[in-house]
Amino acid sequence: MTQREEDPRFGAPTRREVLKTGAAAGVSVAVAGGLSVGMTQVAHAASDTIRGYGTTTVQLKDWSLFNESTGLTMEFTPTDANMGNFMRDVTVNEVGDTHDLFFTDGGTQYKLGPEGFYLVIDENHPELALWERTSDNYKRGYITQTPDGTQYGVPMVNNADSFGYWPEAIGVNPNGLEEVSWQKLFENEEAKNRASIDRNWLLTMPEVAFYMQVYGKAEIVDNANLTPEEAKAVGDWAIERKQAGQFRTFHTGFEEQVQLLGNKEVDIINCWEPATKNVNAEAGADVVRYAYTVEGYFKWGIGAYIPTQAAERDNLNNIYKALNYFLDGEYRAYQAIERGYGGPNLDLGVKYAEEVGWPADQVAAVDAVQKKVDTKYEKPFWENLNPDHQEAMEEEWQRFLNA
Amino acid sequence: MANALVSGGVRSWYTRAASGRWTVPAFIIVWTVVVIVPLFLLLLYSFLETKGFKVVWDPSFHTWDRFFETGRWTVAMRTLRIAIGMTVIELVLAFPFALWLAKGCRSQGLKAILLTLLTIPFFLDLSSRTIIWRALLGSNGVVNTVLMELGITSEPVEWLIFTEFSVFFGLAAPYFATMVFPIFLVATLIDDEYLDASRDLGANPLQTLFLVIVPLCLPGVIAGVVFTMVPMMGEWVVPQLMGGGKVNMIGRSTEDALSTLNYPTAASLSAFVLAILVALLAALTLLTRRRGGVAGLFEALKL
Amino acid sequence: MSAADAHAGRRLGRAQRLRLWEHAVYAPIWRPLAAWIGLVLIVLTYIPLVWLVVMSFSDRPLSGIPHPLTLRWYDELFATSAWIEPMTDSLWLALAVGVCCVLISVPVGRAIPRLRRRGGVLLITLLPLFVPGLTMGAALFLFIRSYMHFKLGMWSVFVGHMVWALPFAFLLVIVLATRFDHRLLEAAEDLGASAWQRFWQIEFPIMRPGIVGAGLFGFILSFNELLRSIFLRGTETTMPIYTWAQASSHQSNVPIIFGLASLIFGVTLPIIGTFFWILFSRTDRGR
Repeated sequence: MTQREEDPRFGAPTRREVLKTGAAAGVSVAVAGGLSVGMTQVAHAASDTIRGYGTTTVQLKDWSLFNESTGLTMEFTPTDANMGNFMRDVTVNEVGDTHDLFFTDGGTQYKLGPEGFYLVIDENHPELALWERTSDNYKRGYITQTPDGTQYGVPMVNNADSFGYWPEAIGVNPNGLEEVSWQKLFENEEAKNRASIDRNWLLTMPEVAFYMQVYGKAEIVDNANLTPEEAKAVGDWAIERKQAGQFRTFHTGFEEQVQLLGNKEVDIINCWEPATKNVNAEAGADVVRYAYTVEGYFKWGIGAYIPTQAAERDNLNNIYKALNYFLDGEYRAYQAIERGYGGPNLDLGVKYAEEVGWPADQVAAVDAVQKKVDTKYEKPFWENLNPDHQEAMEEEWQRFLNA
Repeated sequence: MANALVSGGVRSWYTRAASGRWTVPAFIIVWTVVVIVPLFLLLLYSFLETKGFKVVWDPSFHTWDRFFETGRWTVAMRTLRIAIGMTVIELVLAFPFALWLAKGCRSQGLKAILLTLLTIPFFLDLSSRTIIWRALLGSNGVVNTVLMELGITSEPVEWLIFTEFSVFFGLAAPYFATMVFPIFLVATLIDDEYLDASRDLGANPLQTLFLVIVPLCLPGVIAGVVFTMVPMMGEWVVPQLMGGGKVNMIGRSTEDALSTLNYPTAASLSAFVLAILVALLAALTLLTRRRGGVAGLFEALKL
Repeated sequence: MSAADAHAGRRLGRAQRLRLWEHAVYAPIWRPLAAWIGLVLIVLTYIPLVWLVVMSFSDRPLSGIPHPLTLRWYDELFATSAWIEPMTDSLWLALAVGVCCVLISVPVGRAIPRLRRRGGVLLITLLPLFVPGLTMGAALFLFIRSYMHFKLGMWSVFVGHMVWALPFAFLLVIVLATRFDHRLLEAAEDLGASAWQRFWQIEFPIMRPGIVGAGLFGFILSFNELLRSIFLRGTETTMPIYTWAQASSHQSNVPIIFGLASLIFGVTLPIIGTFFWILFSRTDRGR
């Protein structure tokens, strides 16, 4: 398992090499940036309750697993994955006054870190025992650090997103290992009106831009951080595809994804990976596949961040204990089996699954997540969820939706 | 003892409230603070702009320029078109039914059952009901399967879903009851002797309907239109699930803008819709002035 | 009830009244047509509802095929307790909104038609209805949090729900208040009835459907309200917020949502049914 951790292909530089730009402001990731060791305040546990606030993507179906393993009690306040809502709640609503941990998509620390909303992670905290063995591929980079290398987050889950498909309908090998081009989603002339894309500009626009960039359909420097002009070019091209009748529908939620793919309303859809798991669970093993792509992936990750206000409470020890749990095998194994998502220390996940005696196929499934993730990260990817010209991108996408 | 105290308290509260001298002014003051001031604040925002999750205090028409350039205004127009069109349809459907329910339904038991059936759906989440229609109307859904089995079509009918038609279809049932209830309430209060008098005076049934019953029902009709059109304009579930994202209405478009914390655009979208509604109301007043039109409506409401 | 009866003109027999209506409005075509329209729309409403209940027992709830059947989702629903607190919060909140709607809309609503400048008052009252939920939520959020610096919580969600539900309650009360013959009250006053007696014995029975409607509508609107709550919740979680947030969990919540909807269906059906039954059988006896 250590082989993967030392894999030099595994990380941000790959993308720069391939895209040959390097100029992507805001995305450039310092792989081995300087570490700033922040608060080393060690205090006695005052309360055994950990109040978490964040997206439900990270939740365990049953938090009692967490409670039993750590001796703490998780009080989880759920919210959705909308970054606008989250930033509003942290900055204006001051949720940190009451909550001990934030769980959200990587990227918020770029703004909220320097502005003093997050504590810097104390990497030498005794409760954070697994930090040392956690691979830099996970613990450093866009999800958890700022460009100057300040460590604000601890990685929880991540994945490389592409699209789900019915193999025979789009004419690829049903074993699911064949690399499929994004062209099948955006420009498949034979199967018009058989594709669905996510309505969310933040997810789909960089995917369209990536495709245009790779095939030279427009001059785009960073597909995840478009300039207003680039955004316009992407909008124009997307409108052209829309008017050519490529897209059957634009989906918004998980249930919609499952339904569209499961009922064969569409053949190809840029859904989340668990949606394909869900369809397969209902319609039969491996009838739909989640794509390995020819060109590359959207990489995303969710991290845990400590609100500044927590420094004044006496439970930092417990907070670090909780953070350490998210680096450990139990959490990893459950994320892998329930959603197919990867994350730091996948080897511990496999070990956990074996130790508690999960059936062999489930252990294999946890292990497969790691192989899948390794394969995917050999390709280029992008991971910026905090572009500079959000308004311009959103408005261009709005133009597309209204066209 | 406690009971007497409570009822005594209610009585004295009521007696004071009944005078009406302070009730309405007090309400208006509170309402202004809670509703009008925040809305006014937001309207001010439409002349500002946002940069990276923050509002920049630099008054300009930038937001409004972009509002028209990006076609966002078409969202407002589409929303109004669908909401007004559907409201008219519901009115045509619900008016006779509500009259029948109030006056023509012989069995009190049946009436109770029908009202119950109309009320229950309000308690249930609209999205889970709507997502079921998608499965039924989709290209591999029950409806298409039946149509193809019967040989009516050879290919699945694709416009059953993800079109403006399907949005109208999806709205029809959930917004029927909102139109029925107010008209039903008012119709139950109509004094039957008016009809008797109308007949005695030699009016034919149509004349009685339009000259007696409809005017008496007008307050209910106005309330029904508000009850139906207003929630439909902000409708968030049906346009997305039934329109499949292809019928972009104001609810989701506002959400998109707010996902970048773009309050100014959200504000401009609402302000634009309000402005058009006011313009429509004004035009209606002008057009129907000679016949007492809108003024007549308000007269019916005793306004 | 006697005054109300006199008002509504009950001198005609019931059969006579019906005939009168049939002659006036429901020419032979109209009557069945009116009933059929209602029937068709009620059926259209209940197709997905009944299907939803059926699918809550299906092993594959989103597939549209109720086979094989299972109680698994109900087991799962009762095994998780995460939804219970949001549900309780939502019920209490909806109850508070419903009660407050009645308490405010009745005295204010019946006073409005007696004002001289009613148009303006009514417009201000109805204005928030024409602003989409998210926008109203954003406006209230800016005001309460950014300008007034109050800490958000259940109270601010309550304010948001009142702003949404109260105008509807007003409309119902006003509609009935305008149809109300005030000479009845004057007559009662002449006969020496106190203000309370006049309200309780004359006005209330006539306005009862409106008052009940105002409370019921307030309850329902609050119980299902999401868009304003998203902005005003602080860190509170109501039931709609709970399901909204679960949508980001990348796990199917349909099984649980379907199960829960079926339970709500099963609980409200007898309650509302009994309620209307009593309402009408009583009115019947009154006649």
